[in-house]
Amino acid sequence: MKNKSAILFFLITGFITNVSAQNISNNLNKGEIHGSFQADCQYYFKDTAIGASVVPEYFLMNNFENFIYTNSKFSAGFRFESYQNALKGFDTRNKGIGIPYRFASYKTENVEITVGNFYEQFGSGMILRAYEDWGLGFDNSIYGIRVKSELIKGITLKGLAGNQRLYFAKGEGIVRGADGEFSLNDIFKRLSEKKTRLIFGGSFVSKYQENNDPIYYFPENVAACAGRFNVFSGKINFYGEYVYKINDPSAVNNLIYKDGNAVHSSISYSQKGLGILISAKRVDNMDFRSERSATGNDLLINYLPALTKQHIYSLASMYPYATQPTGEMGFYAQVIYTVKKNTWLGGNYGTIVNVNYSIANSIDKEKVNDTTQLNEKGTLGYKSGFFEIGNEKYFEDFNVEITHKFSKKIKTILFFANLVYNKDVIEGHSGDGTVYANTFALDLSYKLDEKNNLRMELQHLYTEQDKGNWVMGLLEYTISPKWFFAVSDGWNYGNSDSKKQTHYYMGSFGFVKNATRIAINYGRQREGIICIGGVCRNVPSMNGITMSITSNF
Amino acid sequence: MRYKFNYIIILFLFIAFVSCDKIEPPYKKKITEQNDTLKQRKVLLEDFTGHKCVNCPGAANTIVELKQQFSERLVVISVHSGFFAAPDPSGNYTYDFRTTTGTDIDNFFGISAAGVPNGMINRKEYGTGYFVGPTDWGTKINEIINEPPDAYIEITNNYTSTNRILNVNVKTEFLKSLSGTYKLCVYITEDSIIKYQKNNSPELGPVPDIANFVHQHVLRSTVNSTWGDTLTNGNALAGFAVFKNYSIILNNEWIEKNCTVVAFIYNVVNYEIIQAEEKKIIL
Repeated sequence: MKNKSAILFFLITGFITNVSAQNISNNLNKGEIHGSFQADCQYYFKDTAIGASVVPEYFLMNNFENFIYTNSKFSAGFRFESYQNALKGFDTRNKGIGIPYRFASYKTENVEITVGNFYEQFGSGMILRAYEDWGLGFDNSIYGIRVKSELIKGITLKGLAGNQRLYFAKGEGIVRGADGEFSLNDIFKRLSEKKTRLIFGGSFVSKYQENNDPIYYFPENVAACAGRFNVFSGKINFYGEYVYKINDPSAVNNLIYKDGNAVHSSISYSQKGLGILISAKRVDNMDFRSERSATGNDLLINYLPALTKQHIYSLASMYPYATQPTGEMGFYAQVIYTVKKNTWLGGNYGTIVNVNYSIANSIDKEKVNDTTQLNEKGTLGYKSGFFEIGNEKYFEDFNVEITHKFSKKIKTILFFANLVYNKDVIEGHSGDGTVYANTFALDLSYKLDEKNNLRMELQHLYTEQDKGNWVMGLLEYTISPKWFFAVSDGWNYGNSDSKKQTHYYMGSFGFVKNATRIAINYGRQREGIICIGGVCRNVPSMNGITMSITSNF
Repeated sequence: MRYKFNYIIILFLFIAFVSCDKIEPPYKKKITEQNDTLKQRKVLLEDFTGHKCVNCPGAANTIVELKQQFSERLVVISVHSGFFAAPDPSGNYTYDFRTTTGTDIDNFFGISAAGVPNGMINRKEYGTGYFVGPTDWGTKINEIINEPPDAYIEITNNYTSTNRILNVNVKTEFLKSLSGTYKLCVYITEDSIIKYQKNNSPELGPVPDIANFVHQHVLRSTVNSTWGDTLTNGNALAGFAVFKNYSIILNNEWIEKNCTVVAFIYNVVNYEIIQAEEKKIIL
């Protein structure tokens, strides 16, 4: 009898399994797999002229493969990452092989639920932004659960909870958040036809981390809230966001208990031939991470945008600004104007003039009382009036870019930038002072025929501070759509130490076929110091061959 | 169905909204009395630092606070190593605090490559590596300091000032049965070395340079070797004791009354330190 039952059991389960397997197989056949792949490899040479040493491994590699399976409403995927070992300049905690990103998601018209790792942004990200940037070795994805829903057309609600990625591990702190966005034109029928569109949003985010510190009473729950609006009306777009966070003593703010806040607003105007953007922000003690001891780029919950232009010319990008989350006031303005064709300035093809100005200053900080030092550990830190600008300039950038096409074949870009760079503050170490630099660049493109293009860059950076003057030249030849070749040399001829008047040469070529791109370059890279949140790391100079392969499928 | 999801979102909203702890002054806890016993666990904090590291005086200040709390149950070594410890050819930062032992430890555990100030607590590994930021030192020490000790270390120093020879006798005793390989390291540190230090914290001294900074717990040398001598290689029962004797001639530059012998036992598989001890050369 027992045997009969057993046989029956196996027959039934076998049948069910068979049916299920067929169903699964049928369903799976409907699915699709997509993905991407990237490998960045470097081989290092010893170069005493720039102080570059050989790494013990000689050869280092960062690599990832992304696989995403989608089948109607369902999708799932993972990213395999390997660092054998991490390239120079990347955090050495990126070590070994692992799957730090995996998820499954189900999405209907109104609801989306995701478990596993996910990226997310509330508003402009000043309260919460989980994202990744492979090139920078940055990934603060949240590992947990997220629900998105559009209850009524125009009302989007999001809720999430989880821990953040910390290299191949997870941070201790739990992040909980909720966000609502209300598009008034979609909610109210009588507004649907209006030209002016109004969107409001609000968020709450809270983190939890146990406190077992023997010296300080740390808040275990730290909450932040934010409100935002966006108004579009014809050619004008107006955006504003305010975020507030309660006491959050951390390694970055030197364990002060002051509440934090940040405000960011921008207005833009665009019409044919003219674009204007004006933006301003104030940040006051708004570094927000899911662990209070985290520094560098670790476990950041929010993202504070840097209101500065990202320069493409390498000498102008030598002094980039990084938002100072402990306090800054910034202003940004940009005007892009196209001079009409067939005029004296516009020529036959028109001239584009792009003028940009940005500035970042300290906020005013006053002592909380006579016996407490400014920003003293274990105190309220400082007082700061909302509209009071501090007297320390962190950064200033005035730049002009004029693009003019002389003929179908010849295009030029003239570029000038005047930069003020407070090295002590931006790089987080002291004694180097402020760098004042003027950079000029001339970019000439010559189109030989439909496929072949030759481009030349000449750049010069003038400064009396830091490493002194630089000159740089680049020659690039492109055979569309498959090949490109480039050679460049940056010469630090103005270095006060004659031994350091080195040439930073570089040669590169690339090949693109379908969705695969291979780029190889050989040359020297400058050293630098990165300090974020009170911890400084030296990124050594290097001399080597870099190969990068990217592919999508 | 979709309404259920909205309830979940409202729940998230509620949790995020109410999860908020406002701390009122005083922010600092009162020092709690430690019940010192002869055979208690002592924890080793290795502080990786550099005289050109602007944030390192802050970490040194954290050590002062932790020593106030944990007193002699906390043993500290300051390892000057890496880019920010390298001396300049001229100027205020020509002194070389670095040691071969310190550089070996730093390279092996990859501490200064990840940035300074950073530290190791009993060389314990936490998720992404061995290093712990100064903000977390107290928490990590607190987590282990009250565990019953695995071993006991007793140091006896005999110093002869005429020839600067230091004899170190170290008695180690396992307080519970342990299996595996355990090694003993004996190092020398020096306090009160007055030299320049870069600084970024106005409350701790002039910015950007403190001319007469008092460098404490500075690793000077090892007495046996960087990775030490084997105590046991197999199964050791509770009560298993080993006596080690070492001799070293003190460098003329070191001030003997400021020097301390630091000894610790670690497991060679995971490098975790199970006990530490320190004793001044001259009491």
